[in-house]
Amino acid sequence: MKRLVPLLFAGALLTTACEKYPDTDDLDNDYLVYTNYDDDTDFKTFTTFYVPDSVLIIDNSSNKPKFLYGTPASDIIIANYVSGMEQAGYVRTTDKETADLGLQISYIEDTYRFRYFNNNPWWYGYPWYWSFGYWGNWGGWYWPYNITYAYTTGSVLAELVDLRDTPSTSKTLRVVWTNYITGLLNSSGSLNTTYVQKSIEQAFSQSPYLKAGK
Amino acid sequence: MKSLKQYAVRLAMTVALIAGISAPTKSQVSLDAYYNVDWQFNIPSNKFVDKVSGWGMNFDAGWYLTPDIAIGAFMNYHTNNQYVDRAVVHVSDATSIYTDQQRSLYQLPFGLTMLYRIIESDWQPYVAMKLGAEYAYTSSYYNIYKSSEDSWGFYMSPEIGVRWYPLPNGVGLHAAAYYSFSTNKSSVMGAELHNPSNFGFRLGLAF
Repeated sequence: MKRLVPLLFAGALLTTACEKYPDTDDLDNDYLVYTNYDDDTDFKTFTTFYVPDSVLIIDNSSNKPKFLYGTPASDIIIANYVSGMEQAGYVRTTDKETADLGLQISYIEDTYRFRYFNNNPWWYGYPWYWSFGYWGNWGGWYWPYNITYAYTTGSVLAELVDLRDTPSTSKTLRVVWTNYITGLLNSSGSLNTTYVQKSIEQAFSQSPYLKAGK
Repeated sequence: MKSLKQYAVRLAMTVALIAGISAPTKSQVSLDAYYNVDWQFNIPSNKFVDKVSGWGMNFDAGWYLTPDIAIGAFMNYHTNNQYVDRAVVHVSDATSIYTDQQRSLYQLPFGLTMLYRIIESDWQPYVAMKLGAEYAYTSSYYNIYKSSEDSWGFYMSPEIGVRWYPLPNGVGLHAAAYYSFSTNKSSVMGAELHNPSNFGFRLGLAF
């Protein structure tokens, strides 16, 4: 018996699972809403914003940029972001040249990646991502804060860019606010839309610093 | 009639207890050593996770320097998980995440035990102090993501327990209650683990 004790010890140690993982089935299936901003930016100094009428689609299959334009989904997404910006006190303008802020919205349709970045988010490398030339004669992008989250299928990505400087190819375009909305796609399109609407409202609700000056 | 029967049962139990306490300690595997393998129930007290669980094990081995005093080694591990409702989590000053989450705290302390055996018989009540290091792994599962951080700290744990060797083959039973404290610190998804403490009990086999 004495000789068996160390064996019993070793056996018990080896056969028992050390860590009990939590049950992720208990998590709700609602979307995750992530927001991040440049804390050196004073959002009260902005007044107007411009938003394109299309949502860029990021996927793995296209050979050219694809946009959602005039669809119920894209209209709802754009309308909800516009509503959030207007409730924060910003004024929508149709003149891109004079706008203080640009709001670009993308939808990640069918790709699935797990990657972590510091200052250059993965979407910067997407070939058809919003061209910085879209906003003027800019020389590149600049995120003054770390982007550390990956995405999955069904993610909406919105970014506010600072357009107040005079564009120049030697200057980079500063992204001052980022919002991800991510979750698993549901077979019900309307349910997805409902989730996205709720999530856009939540994005503005958890970003109280987005307030225009009076 | 019923009260007579109850009286007889109580008397028999008392006699058995006295006989057990006064009996010589011939039934454990080694008179100079002790070994325990236990299931553990843990009640954590910290801001990261405070839900009780029985997902843990404890292992002890020690040697008697005198008939009363032993020195030994221990290792145990325990997991406590807790669901946290959907809320805005402020990961940093500039980053916020709205999600629900499953938090998990895994603790693995190990080190040395100093033990004082109060009675040397088939019933062996004791008090002990465990000192050592604790490895703690804090993690949070949310949406499809996981954030985690591990930490090391100093560990101390007073314990009171009893070993009972009713059988001649050296296998006995072990029961103990403990308190523990460690100096681990970590932060995951805006929630901090800071000097966690625990209460709990252990039930298992003694050799």
